[in-house]
Formats: sequence, C-alpha cells, structure tokens
Amino acid sequence: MILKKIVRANGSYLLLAPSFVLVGVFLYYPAFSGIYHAFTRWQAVGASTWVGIDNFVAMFSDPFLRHGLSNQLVLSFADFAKALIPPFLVAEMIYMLSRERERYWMRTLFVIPMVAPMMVIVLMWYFIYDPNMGLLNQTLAGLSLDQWRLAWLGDPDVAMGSIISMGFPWISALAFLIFLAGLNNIPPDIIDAARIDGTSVLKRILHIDIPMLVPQFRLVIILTLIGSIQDFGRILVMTGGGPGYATYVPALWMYEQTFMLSHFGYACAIGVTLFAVILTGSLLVLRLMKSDLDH
Amino acid sequence: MSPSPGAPKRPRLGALILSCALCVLPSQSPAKELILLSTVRGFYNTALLELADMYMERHPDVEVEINIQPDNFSILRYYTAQMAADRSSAPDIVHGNLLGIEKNFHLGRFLAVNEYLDLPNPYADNVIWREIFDETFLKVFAVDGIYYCVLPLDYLDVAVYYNRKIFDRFGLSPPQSWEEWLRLCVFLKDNGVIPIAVAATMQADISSWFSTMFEDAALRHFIPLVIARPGDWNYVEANSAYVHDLDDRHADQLITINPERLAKAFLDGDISYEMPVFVEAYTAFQNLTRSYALGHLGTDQTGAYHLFLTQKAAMWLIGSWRVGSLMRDLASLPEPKRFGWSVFPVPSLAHSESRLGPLRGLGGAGHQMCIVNKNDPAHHDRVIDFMMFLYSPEQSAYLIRRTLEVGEFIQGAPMIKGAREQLSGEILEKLSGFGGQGYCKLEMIPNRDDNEAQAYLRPLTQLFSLRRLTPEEFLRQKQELTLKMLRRQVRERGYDLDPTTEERVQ
Repeated sequence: MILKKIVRANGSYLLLAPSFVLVGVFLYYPAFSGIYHAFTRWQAVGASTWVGIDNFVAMFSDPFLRHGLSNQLVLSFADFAKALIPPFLVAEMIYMLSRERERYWMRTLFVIPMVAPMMVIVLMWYFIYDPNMGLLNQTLAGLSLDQWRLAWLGDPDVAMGSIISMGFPWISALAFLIFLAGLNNIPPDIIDAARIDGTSVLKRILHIDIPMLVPQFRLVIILTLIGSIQDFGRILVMTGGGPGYATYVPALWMYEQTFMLSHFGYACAIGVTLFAVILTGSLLVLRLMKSDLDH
Repeated sequence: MSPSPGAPKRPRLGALILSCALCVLPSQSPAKELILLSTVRGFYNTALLELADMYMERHPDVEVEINIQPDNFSILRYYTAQMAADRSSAPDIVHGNLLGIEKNFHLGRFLAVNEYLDLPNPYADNVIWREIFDETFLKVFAVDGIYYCVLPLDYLDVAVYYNRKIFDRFGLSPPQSWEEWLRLCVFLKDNGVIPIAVAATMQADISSWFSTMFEDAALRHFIPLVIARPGDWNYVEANSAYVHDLDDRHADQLITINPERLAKAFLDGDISYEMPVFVEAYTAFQNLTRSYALGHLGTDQTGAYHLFLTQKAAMWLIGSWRVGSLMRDLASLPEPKRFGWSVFPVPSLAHSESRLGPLRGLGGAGHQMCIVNKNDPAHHDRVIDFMMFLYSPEQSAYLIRRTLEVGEFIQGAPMIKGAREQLSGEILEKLSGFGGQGYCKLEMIPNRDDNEAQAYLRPLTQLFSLRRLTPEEFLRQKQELTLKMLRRQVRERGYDLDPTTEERVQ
C-alpha cells in the first residue's frame, strides 16, 4: 500500500529522501544520542558507562545550577517583558499612522537593525559597559555623576541588570513584525465599528487588539522561552557567568561541562532537563493561551 | 551562428565532465603521514608555518599542518571535540595551556617524552635533546615531578609593569616590599591615579596568579611533609640534597613532591587552608585588590592594557608576552603620549607572623607543546622527529628572528639554547625584568591543573577578590572544595595513598 503511494507520487518521495536523511542524521540522531548519554558517564574519550539517573541526581546539589536557576527565572521574566511590551507598543504606533508611506518607512527603519549580527551588538554593549573606558561611565563622568559610575559587569549586584538592559530599547524586529502583521490582519470593519462607537485608543488596544493578537502573543512567548533558555552566548561573552555566580544560567554551565570539563554525560543531562522545561513551558502556553481565533 | 575566428572556444560538455571527474578522483600519489600541530594565534605563527614547510622539504613523505586557533579556550574546545569524535583526528601536538596537562597525562591522552629527551637530536649535531632545554624549567611542568609532558618553547613570567613618567612625577620608585607597594598604591589613589590595571575575566584571571604566588609561599612550609622520600615511586636523587630553607627561592626547584603524600596530608588535616599561614597569605593578597581599577572582574586584557597605555593606570599586572605589543604601540603614539616604562617583580612581605617566604615567579611557558598519545609508536616517533627539528638551536633561532621580522611577538625569553642571541638589546633589556625570582612549586598546589576544581573555585575567587568573602570564609570554602576534589582525584587515579606504589589509570 505504502509502496503504491510512493510509486503514485512519481518519485517525489525519492527526491525528498535526502532531506529526510540529513534531518535524521544532523537533527534527530544527536538529540536522541543526547538523551541516551544523559544516563551515562562519558568523558570525551573512551566508552560511556551507564549510570542511570546519577547525573540527574547530581544536578540537585550543583551550586552552579542552583544559582543558575534563579538567575534564569529573572532573565526569562525580563526577556518576556522585553519581547512583548516594546515591540507591541511600536507595532501599535506604526499601525496607527494614517499614511501608508509613513508606515512603510517606519517599518523599514525598525527592521533594518535586524541585519546586524547578534554578536556584534553584544560586543558593542560590552564596550559600552567597560568600567573605565566605556561610553556609559565616560558619559556619567562627563555629566559629573561620578557616584553613579559602576562596574557594570564586574559587580555581582549589577551584572545581571546590565545583561538584561542590553539592547535598549529592546525592539525585537521579529516580534515587532509578528505583532504588526497581526494588527494588519484585524478585519477593518471591527476597527471601524469601534471608531463609530467612539472607543478610545487605549480601550481599542485592550478590548480589540490584544484579544485579536493572542496567537501572535503565544508565538512570541514560545520563541522567547526557547531563546531565553538556550541563548547563553551573550552571557558567555559579557561576564562568563560571573562575577561569582551572578550571571550563570544552566545552559552556560552545560556548555562549560562539555567543552571545559569534558563531562559530556552530565552536560547531556542538563540539556535534556532544559529540553523538558522548554517543552513543558511551550505546552502550558499553548494550553493556557487558547483563543477563539484558533478555530 | 558560428563563433567568430579568434573568439575563445566554448569547452565541450564532455571535456567539462571529464575535468570535473579528474578533480574529484583521489590522487594516485601515496598518502603522506600527517602531523597536526594546534596552537594559538598571534605568536610565532608565520615562522611556524615556514618551519613546517622546511620540514616537509626535508621529509617529502610527511605533511605538517599548523592549525591556528584564536585563543586558548578555542584550543580547548577544538581538542575536546576532536578527542571526543575520534582520537586519530585530534592534533598530534597541542598547546596545552588550558587543557589540564596532569589530567590528560593520567588519562593516557598525553605522552611523557622522557625517553625521547635522552635521544640525540639529529637536527642539533646529535646533541642529547635534553641538553638543549633548561632542566629546571622542564621540571616545572613535569607531571608528578618525573613525567615530562610539556616541551616549553619560551620562558614566560609575570611582573608589574609601571609607568616611569607617573612614578617620576610623584617621586616614586619601585617598591621593595609588599607593605611598601600597598602604601604606594594608596598614595597614587589619593592623587587621582588608578594604581593598578588588571584583567580578571573568566578567560583570563590575571589577578588570581598573584594569589597563586601567596599560596606557594604558604605551602612551602609543608614540603618536608610531602617531599618524595627514598622508596617512594617518584623519588629522585635531588630530593636527598633538599635543605628546608623558607627564604631560599630555589631550594625546592629540582625536588619531587609525592602526590599521594600530598593528598593524604590534606585529607588527614596535616595541611589545611584554614591554617594561620594561609589566612595571612590571603589577607595580604586581598589588601592589594583594593588598589585595582574599578570593575576588574569586568575588565579583559585589552581593557587593562588600554588603561596602562593611556596612562590612566600607573601599574599593570601582566606577563612578559605583552612586551612586544607595548613597545610597538608606544612607538606608534605621538611623542607627547609616549612614556617610559619598566617592570618590577612582585615584592614579598617584609614582616610576616607566619614566616611567609619570598614570592616567586609563576614560571610559565608561552608555548607549552604537548604530544597527544595516538597509541601509535611509529607515528609518535615521527611527531617527535618534527619536534626535534623545531626544538633545535638553528630552527629556534629562525623562529625568533622571523617572528620579529614579520612584526609578530614572542611571549618571553626563548627557551632553546642558541635562540636568545636573535633578540635585540632593547627587547632583552625589557625581558630581563621577568624571571630570576625562582618558580612557584606548582606540584604543591592541589587541583592546580584540574579544570573541574578550577571551575568550581572560580566564583569563590572572584567574590574573594571583590572582598565579598573574608579570607577566613573563602579559605573555609576552598578547603571544603579541595577535599572534595582530592577525594575525586584519588578515586579517579586509583591512589591507594601508599607513596611507595605507583597507581596508573588503566
């Protein structure tokens, strides 16, 4: 039966086969291998040894993960706020512009920064935060605000705030485009009806736009959840997790366990746990943010 | 339409396919033996590539590939990934600075080159290879004091660079004692000058090197307890001549420490970081951190360098590998922005209640070349032959000369005899400020070369240098961590804590 279907598809499956093979080898195999190795002790060289759930048990007494978890909660909360609020507000402002030409230019202006590589932006902020030569402290000194000069990345009380503040004013081009596309898809008759009824802008946003944009909010939340938990690059470059434990997150510790300490098994266990958290979080968001628009 | 005469003819499709196929088909020439050397960018690179070519000219059956990585961390990632994938694709020679030499040797990943060192070097008039090296320096890196896994290319040490212009302006001279240094720093700070620029990021925690010097000074008290004795598996003749003199910087340089005695002394509580001698050492070190520039934990090497170069900081804690770049950058500045500079060694405590000995140099090697164990003796012989070529007076001299010619830098005074003469008087004068203080006995520091222990210790060290932890609290946690890591090491290496029997990982 299946063979018949394949024959009837005039070789389409054959043409798709290389893609399936590549996806299998480079995406699914490493993922399943990671799940298997999470239950082993494997130090880069030599065979891995099955250790059951030992790696997962060890995670409970790991100070890096203990601190990393609380740091991750703060970071993710801030990431959600940054990904949802500023892009949505900017999308609303552009949506409200009356002339299409203005909309086009404003949209383009907000999207252009998207082409700058993330690491360039991170390094730019690294230089801004330099305690002695950086733009931020130099500006404060120039304004005679010396008492406000801080070790932005070198003070445990400030470092996480500095990481969170990176990228100000936090207008993520992707989230902005998603919201703007959602707003443009709201049927004009609903907006017109609201206008005829004399609805204020705030009321329109709260009672029409936001409920109509639930699928967009859901998508941005899920993408942010994944990005926030997986992306340790900015922390690796800015602080390396320090000072002390101030900016460690579990993904960074996973990376160090792999490439600094050759504890591949333990790193896989951390990776599997992060995967479980992301999966659970995504399912929860999908369940809690159901919308009539889905149907 | 036929092509006009003189116009280039279009190649026929058949010819195109044939030429593509010829390109794709494997060459029929016999496969060459590959030697892969992985090192760090910025130092000796051009000369290394050229020397590899020279070696291949002499040995057409060998291909030497120089793999240049951006920094030590990249080498660590590259080496780890290659070893995890398949040892045969890993580098044969690797710059082992951050790799954990001791652990790699004990896990059978690095080769001890003891026997090779006793062979004649065909590229150096058949002189016994060992004689080309400085024996004391080889010893600094010997695992367990007897296994030579590192072939050092150059001397590297740390010292304090200082701006002579600033010192002269305030009538200051290099301090003779730790106490005097602290007073000098306070004076500079009161006069609006940043006393010390230092980098202390995860990638390069220069500040922690100075705590290592203090740790060495404190641990020297316990040498009689842990020195390898007759009958111990790593006993050497030099141990019998050892005289315990805390003020002698060089007394312990050639002796071996028995790692099982050391582990047992810690586990039994005969040595503990909570003892007063360590508290005094770490208190002295913590006092210095008050004079660091703002945010030293968020300052990388470039940031610290700029502070010194722009004359915002009067002193700079760093090693000899920055001599070349500092000379170059100062020369490129307009005259009014240039300044004279020199270095002084880290001064020792003048008055110590616990009789802390003098602080010694860290005695690193810029290039710590390690041979990766591929479980193939014939291939090891070939790799060693290349290393003998590289570590011969003639080629080492070329390495230094060519490196300076192309505007790259050396990391410190050349190690191989005969290479030193290639340096100019100015560079030699600058490099002379480094070394001469003896070398810290790194074998005495438990977990010094253990990446896992260092990873767990790093946050504590950072908090300590920020004075968020008192010396007592820091040392309590350090002691706890040390015991935990030592127990792991004892388990991993199969130590029975009997110093007379050697246990090796199978």
